[in-house]
Amino acid sequence: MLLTRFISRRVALAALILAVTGIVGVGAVQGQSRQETLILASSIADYITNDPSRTFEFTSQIIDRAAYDTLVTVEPPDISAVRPRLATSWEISKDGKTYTFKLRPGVKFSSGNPLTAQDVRFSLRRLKHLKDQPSFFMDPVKDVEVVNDATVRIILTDPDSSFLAALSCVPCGIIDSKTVMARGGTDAEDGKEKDKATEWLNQNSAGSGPYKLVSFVKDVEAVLERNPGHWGPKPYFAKIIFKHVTSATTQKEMVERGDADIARDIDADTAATIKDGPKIKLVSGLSLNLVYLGLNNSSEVGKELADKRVRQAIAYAIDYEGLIKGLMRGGAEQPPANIPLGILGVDKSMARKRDVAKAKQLLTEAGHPNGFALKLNYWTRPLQGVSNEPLAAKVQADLAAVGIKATLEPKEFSVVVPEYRAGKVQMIIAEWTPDYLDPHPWADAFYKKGGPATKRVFYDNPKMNDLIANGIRETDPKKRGEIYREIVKLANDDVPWVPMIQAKVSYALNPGLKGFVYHPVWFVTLANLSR
Amino acid sequence: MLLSYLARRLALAMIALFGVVVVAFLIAHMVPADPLATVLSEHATKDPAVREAYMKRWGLDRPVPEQFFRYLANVFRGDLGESFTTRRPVVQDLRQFLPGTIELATAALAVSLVLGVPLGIWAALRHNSWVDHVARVVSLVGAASPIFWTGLIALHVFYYRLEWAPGPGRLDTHLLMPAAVTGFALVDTLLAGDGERFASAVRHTILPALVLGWFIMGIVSRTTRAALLEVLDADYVRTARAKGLAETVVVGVHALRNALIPVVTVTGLNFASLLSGAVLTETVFAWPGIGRYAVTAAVRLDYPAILGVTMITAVVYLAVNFLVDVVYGFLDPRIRVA
Repeated sequence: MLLTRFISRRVALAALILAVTGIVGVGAVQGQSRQETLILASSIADYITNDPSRTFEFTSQIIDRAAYDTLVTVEPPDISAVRPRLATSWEISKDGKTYTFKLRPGVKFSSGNPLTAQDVRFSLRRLKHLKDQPSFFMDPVKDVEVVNDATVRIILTDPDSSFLAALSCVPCGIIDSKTVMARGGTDAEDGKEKDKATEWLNQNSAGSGPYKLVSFVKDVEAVLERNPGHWGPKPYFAKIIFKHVTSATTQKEMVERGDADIARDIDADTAATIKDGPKIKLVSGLSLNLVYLGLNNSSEVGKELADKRVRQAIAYAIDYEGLIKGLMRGGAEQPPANIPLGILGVDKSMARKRDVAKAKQLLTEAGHPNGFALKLNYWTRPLQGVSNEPLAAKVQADLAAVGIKATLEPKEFSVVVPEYRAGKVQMIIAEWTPDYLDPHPWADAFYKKGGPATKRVFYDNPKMNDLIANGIRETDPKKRGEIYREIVKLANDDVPWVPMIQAKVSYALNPGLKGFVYHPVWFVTLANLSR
Repeated sequence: MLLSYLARRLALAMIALFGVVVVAFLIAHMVPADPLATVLSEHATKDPAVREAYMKRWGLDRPVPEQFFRYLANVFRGDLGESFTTRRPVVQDLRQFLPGTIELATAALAVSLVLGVPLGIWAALRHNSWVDHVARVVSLVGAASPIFWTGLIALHVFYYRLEWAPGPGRLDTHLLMPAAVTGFALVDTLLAGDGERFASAVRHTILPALVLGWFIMGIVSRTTRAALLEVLDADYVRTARAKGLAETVVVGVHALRNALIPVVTVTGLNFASLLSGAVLTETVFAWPGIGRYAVTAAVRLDYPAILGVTMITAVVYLAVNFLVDVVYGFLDPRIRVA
């Protein structure tokens, strides 16, 4: 008895010690420094590199957007207008092949070095010659010439009306050539083998942007500090910290507790639990991320799908409203084509409506009055915030309603994607995220013969190819808009793809945060935020 | 005698480790999937030159047997290759992430022993009383609940509702990690001589350690209870009591000492479940450890990272079992011969 009392006292003591050490001092000192520190709770697991000429991942684009300036920029709400940034003005030659930029005077990098036309040439050539993921941005570029310190000329191989929008993207950020060369960087043609600056650029930045990167610890945190020599307005926050947190619930709770100002990965289920109040606010923006059905047009793999009428029947069979309102809880829009809403030439009214009778009629015309069987492939990890399993089941049910018996083929991402890229799947649910804010990258990827996605479904329509070629040559935005409307119409007739979901993305914010505007490519322009 | 016993155990451990490497390598490479598909973007695959450059960089353009022997040769040089996802040497990744997991697992182990052993003793002394029943329920709930669930609930209750515990992460959000010297946050904050950050690191360890510790505490307390009950019936305990020794001495010295032998074994064997439990705990608590690294590696079919994590887990597991064997051999000389 004595012993039991002795032990129970020890248990109680142990519990007490743990409790005290755990509790005391919570809600620690957070004074002025916290006020001027912006904390983002966010998964940063997508990180590969912070080298702007190599990165194509989400987190690094947000960071590099703050650390590097581009020649031009695109800011919401009007994401089809290209605005000046480092370039104060530019001229495009009559033949559409020569772009001459006047650079903003007096701009200095965070190192103190002045930014000149030489740096622009170095940055763009380095991007091209590293032959890494974002090097495709420089595909149209033949040469970059230094006219004088404040003027740079870019010469294209062929006219490309989407080029200016491409220049607004993070990989086209202008880097400090002197600093980067001192760290082993090079813009020479053998940059792929010779450039050694990436390791340094992963931890530091060499840009002229409002912030500079001071540390990056993979899967732990990233820290940005205000760049005191920045040419533009002084941003409110002195320091920005990204904390790596993966669970959406945890992120939300951190915002409510004041431990974070922004929760970046709020899924539909967590969003439904957030009520706006003094501690938290839910904001959402329409992303440019697409979830779509890919239909193989070849008779060998696609079989029945090689017939346009069958593809049209499938497009008419899908219950878009059910997808958007039910599955997505209203957190999405229906894109009219594999070119998302918000992009030049695309508007809501062009989206298809479900029509079961029409679908059945088309199937009968195509010689399948009793339907047919096909395989619906999808990968098992979620795509763009959409759970794949219920989406696949919904598509299966919608197809069954018109007599098409779809067998579900769930596979690992790393298994099905190579099959899809090799053009070996009959039908697939897949996703696409934006490259830059111009209709061309989508038209090129999904509808032009041989495009990265087009070739997977063997779609080829000469009329479409001509339209796309015209779209990229035309310089007048109004006429371009007309061309892309034509493209969307033709796409809806040919149906190589069935666009289904353009998801809204949700974020939780500290209600005291001002200036938050969702950006569909780099999430938010950090320098615009304040308390 | 003892030396040859140790040598034999060590040799067996090395063979087991080699087996682990072979099996892990084969499984990873037999999967009919393309790791580059998940690692490279749509646009990178547009230009075959980009893809080829990466194939060459990671030696994927060579036949599998050659890849295997190259890998083995590199392992002997201490080079575990470059991770496809982080594009860093795997050794560097492991050096960054392993200390966090070891800190968490050790703290959890301490929790499970500090709470589990007394609970087991208490339950044994009062077996079939309400104390025993409560202890059983507490143990069972801990062992039976999925750890991501207990983690989320604990965080919700103690961090969010009651505001007792600090939030997720290794430190408070406004504090930054100190320069990595050892990689252990508790040690590095001390070395940096930073009281605030050290206190923060300690506070942030408690809740995840309790959650993870609770998971194996049940096994510890149930084993303690069973072993103690068995021992309390033994002749020498009756003799000790007959000699008129105080009950604290009888239980605390004579009985407990023998009863703890199976507890040591069970704890060692359960170290593996501690490591796998750490994977989930790390996710919920945003803990920078090897668990999340392993999950990312597996999802992306990142061969070098998968092999590295498998190997280091095997090493830890083998080392713990080796230690248990050794301790056991010391405690019970009969085992050494077997």
